[in-house]
Amino acid sequence: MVNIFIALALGIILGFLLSNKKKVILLSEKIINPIIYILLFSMGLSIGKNKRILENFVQIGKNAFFLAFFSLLGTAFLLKISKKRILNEK
Amino acid sequence: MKNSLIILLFFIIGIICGQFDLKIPDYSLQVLYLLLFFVGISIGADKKSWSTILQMKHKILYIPIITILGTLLGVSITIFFIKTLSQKDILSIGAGFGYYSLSSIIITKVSTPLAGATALLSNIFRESLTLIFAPLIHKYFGALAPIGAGGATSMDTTLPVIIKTSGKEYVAISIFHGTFLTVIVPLIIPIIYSL
Repeated sequence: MVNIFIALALGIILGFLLSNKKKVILLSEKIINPIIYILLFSMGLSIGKNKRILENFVQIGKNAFFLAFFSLLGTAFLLKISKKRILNEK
Repeated sequence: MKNSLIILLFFIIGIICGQFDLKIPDYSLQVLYLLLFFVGISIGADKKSWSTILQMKHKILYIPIITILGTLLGVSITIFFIKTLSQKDILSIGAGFGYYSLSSIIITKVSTPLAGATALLSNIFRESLTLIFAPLIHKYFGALAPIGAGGATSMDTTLPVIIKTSGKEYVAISIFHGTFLTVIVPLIIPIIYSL
C-alpha cells in the first residue's frame, strides 16, 4: 500500500520538476493509456480464471448498478441542499 | 466513450484468455506502480490545473468536497443490502468517482478481483448514467448536481452534457471539479483501505 503512495509521490515531484520539458511530459502522458490497457487485460485474466466471479456476473452487474445509482443520488442530494450557500456568497 | 470501449475490450479479451490455462507471468503489481508513477508525472507537470485550483475561490472548492461526501454517503446505503463486498470495498468503489480505469486497477490489487470488477462496471455506469440522465438530474437537483454526478469525468467526457444542461457559466467549475477528483482518486482509495 505504501508503495502506491511512493510511486505517485515520486511521479508528482518529478513531473513538477520536469514541467518545462514538454516532450518528456507528452511522452509520459502517451504511455498511460497503453499501460491501462495492459492492466485491464491482466484484470480480465484474473477474473477469467476465477470461476466464482464468472458464475456471479449478473450479481456483480446489479451491485455495480446500485453503487453507481446511490453515488449519484447522494451527490445530487447534497449538492441540491448546499447549492444556495455555495453560489450566493461567491 | 471510445476509450471506455477500448478498455472494456481489453478487459473482455483478458476474461476470455483467462478461460484457457495460459502461463502468462503476472507483473501487474509492478506495472501498477509504473502507471501511478506516470499518472503522478502528468499531475505534477500540469501547471494549468494547479493554477486553476489555487485561483478558485474557497466556496468553489467546496463542490468537489461535497461530491466526495455525497458519494460516500450514497454508497453507504448499499452496505445494508450488498453482502458480497466489504464496507471498505463499497466506499472505495464509490471513491472511483467515475475514473473507472485507475480505480478498478488499484482496487483489484489492494483488495480482490471481485471488488475490482464491480468497481470497473460501477464507475462506467456512473459515467453513462450522467451522460443519459444529466437533464433529469438538473431538473430535480439543480445546476451543480450534473457536475457532481459526472465526478472525475466532469472535466472531459461528461463536460459537453453538463454545459448543455447546467449552462456555459459552469464550465470553469466543472473542469475544476473533475480535475480535483481525478487527482484525489489514486490517493483516497489506498487511504480508505488503510483505515
